[in-house]
Amino acid sequence: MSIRKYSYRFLRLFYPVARPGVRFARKYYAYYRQLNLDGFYNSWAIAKQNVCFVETKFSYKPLISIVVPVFNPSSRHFVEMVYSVINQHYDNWELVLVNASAKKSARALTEECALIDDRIKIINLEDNLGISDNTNAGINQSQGEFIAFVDHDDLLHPCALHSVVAKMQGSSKPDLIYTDEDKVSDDSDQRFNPHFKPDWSPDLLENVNYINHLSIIRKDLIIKVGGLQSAHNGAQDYDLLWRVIDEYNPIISHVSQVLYSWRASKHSTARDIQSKKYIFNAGVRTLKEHIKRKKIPAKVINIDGKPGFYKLIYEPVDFSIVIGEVSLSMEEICAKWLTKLLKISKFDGKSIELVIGDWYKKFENNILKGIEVKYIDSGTQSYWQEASRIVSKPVAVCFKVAALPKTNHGLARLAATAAYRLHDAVSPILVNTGNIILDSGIVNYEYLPRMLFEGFKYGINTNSGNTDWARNVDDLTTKVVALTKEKLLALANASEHSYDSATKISTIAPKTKADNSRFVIWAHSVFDYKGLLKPYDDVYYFNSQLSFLPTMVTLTDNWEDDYVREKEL
Amino acid sequence: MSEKKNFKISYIVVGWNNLKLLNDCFISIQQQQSVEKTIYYVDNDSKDESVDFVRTHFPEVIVLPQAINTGFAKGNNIAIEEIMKDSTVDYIGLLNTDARLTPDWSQMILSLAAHKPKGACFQGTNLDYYNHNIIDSTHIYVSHNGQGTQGHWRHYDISELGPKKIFGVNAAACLISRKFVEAQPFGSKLFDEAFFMYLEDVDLAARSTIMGWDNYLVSGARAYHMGSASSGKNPSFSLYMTFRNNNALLFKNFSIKENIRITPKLIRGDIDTIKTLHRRGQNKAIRAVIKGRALGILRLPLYVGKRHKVFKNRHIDSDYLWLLMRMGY
Repeated sequence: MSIRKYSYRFLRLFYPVARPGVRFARKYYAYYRQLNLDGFYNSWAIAKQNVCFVETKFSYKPLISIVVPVFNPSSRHFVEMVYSVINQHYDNWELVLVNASAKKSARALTEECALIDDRIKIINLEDNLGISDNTNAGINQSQGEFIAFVDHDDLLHPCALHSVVAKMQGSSKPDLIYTDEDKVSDDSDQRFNPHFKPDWSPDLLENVNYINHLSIIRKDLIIKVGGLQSAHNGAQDYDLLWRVIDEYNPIISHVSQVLYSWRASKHSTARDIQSKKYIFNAGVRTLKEHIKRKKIPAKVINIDGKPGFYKLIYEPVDFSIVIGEVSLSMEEICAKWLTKLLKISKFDGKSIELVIGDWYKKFENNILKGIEVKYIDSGTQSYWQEASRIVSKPVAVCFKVAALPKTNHGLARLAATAAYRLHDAVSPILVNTGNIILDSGIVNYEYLPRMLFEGFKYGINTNSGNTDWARNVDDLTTKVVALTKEKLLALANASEHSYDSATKISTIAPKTKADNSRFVIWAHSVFDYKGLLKPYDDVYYFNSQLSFLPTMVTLTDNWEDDYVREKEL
Repeated sequence: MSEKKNFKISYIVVGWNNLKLLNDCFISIQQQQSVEKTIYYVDNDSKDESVDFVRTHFPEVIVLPQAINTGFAKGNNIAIEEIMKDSTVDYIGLLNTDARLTPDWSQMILSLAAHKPKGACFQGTNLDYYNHNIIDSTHIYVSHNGQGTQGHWRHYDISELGPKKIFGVNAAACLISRKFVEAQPFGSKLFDEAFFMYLEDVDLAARSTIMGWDNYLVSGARAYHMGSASSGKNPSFSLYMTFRNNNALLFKNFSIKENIRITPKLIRGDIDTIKTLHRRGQNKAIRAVIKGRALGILRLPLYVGKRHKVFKNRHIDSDYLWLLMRMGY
């Protein structure tokens, strides 16, 4: 006992010496925790850090100018960036360093880079003109057919330009190419937070600048739109992308490889997106100009608590709510659900029409004032054909399952989004108890259709982006879909399959989708899934995929218990 | 520099009792395409007929016979001193007697080197002479545990494309730019003669990187290397020299802060080496390791002046150097 006591006293002597060490260790540990390091991804990325993804020899080898505005960089990060360009497998490039550093040492460091390779050009600016004008100075001096934008402390994968040029071979030459990206820690030891991006998704770009890095744009398009605009500093790249896309409708291509690593240094946006709030106001301005140019009937808002993410609110429209077939035993519960749906929804003074089976006549008293009801004859052969004929409003929100919007405006905004001429069909995200996503559209991945984000929690960040980003998908399920009247008519009367039995939109009538129209998952409208309106017996007994069963529950009496309405954004 | 089309390369081969290897070695140099070239052969007092053989079969080779075995470092320095007198030479090519070049080796490297005003040393992918699917080295570097390390040694993946900035080149087959030799703080003495043999190329690699020059790997250029042709019969000798020179390498080129970072890993590495040798029953080799380390420490005062000169020319960010020491690129 006494030995332990004395040894304790002896050790206490070292506390003053050890304390700074312990504090440092805690701080260091906290720093790493903040970065949300992903060991699995890191080892995967490290294994791929020198891999060449394409082996072809090219017939078309355009000169690519990598434009880097340099402003007081950390010497080590800057040198790493320069050598990541030097190490490119593709050799027809030039690196244009726009030297606007205020520090003498940083200026000297940039100037020395000219000695590393004769393809490095240095442009010395006397004053720092801001990121946009600095970059413009670089673009004007560059010789390349394409411009790649790189930040002064980020890293390119050695195969970055090589993979991009591989996409340019063939007859249709893309004008804008973007790649996936991840983040790299200060000491370049760890790779984390990868973003595996979708192919060109305009609705997602209206939500967040997902293209970001690495983006390579044809130089003449940049010159034609007048380069970057200093009025949009902070979101200058977002603004440039939208102007190029809006005005010249370029061919856009996506390289699905992580070819760019964003430095997550202390003050970089990559690490702490909150640290640069001015960026997000610039982003809203950018989007406002975009919707003005494209005459999109919508307004833009910055999502509170989620800087960098924006939301388009389309102008409210008159719409019909079309309720699918309801089985006899479900009628009472279904009427309750419908009452709740209409009660909680706000329609912004627009006129609403309810199209429903004639079983609902006995619940007619529940209907709110001002809602017009149209009945579908129960004896009809084809329910949805009949429904599409009756609908009189420009947009129809079709329910095949019982679901309640989490927000008051969820239903009306879903309908408003579907009214936009380029939207082919729009679905909300359907979530289960605990905000677990049941349905957020279907994407084709490796030649197979897959349910996007099924089983993920709504609102979390995944390697394929956040689950609450509105985006374009390859297909939609028919659970809850908002369509224009014409499209509903076309789908319901498609000859091959009927809307009654179809589970996916594209199987009914793929030809209704015009070239530039798109399927949209409108993630700003989240619907709580409550159950089927018409249970299919065969689903229960003959579905070999048993894991699918729990999601296909019937609407039951206790549907109200777990319904929690969320604050309107 | 990039406008010049025909570069002149002087190749140096240093030999010591390697008569059987010389023929193929010189032929592979003669076959180099599209370059103007001179060849120097430094003979380190070979007991076989090397000098006569070269003079008879390769009359265009300039032979520099030495009265004693000067070692790899001094042998090369002697030839470099000769070459530097000729102002038309742009690059110096070093080739071991046991290495062979593919005919486009020089051409491929020069096509990259032409773009690099600050390029010091260049190498291609060195493959195993006996099995061309295995890498002998792609670069060399001083790792975090202070050891001179061959990059990708015995790796099977030879598919890497593109040039790469590396820590340093393997002197078995490499090209060194004239400008870099001229920028040396030690005159034309490119290699440290006090090293005699082993790690002199790692020392050169460390020095070039620390002075802010760039070394490059040109993956497409291929050379084939046997390895340890001169000292292969005596592993204890090579271990002794390696450990002796390792101390000098670290003391000469690295700052105190960097050495403090390296030392714990260095000690751990030494203990592991001794344990491995003990398990194999190579007690003679263990003695060589300990002797090498101990004598290496005693010899450090020899390098004080050289360290001073290197540090006068030091031009690298310490953190970036540490990053390069992780993988060698």
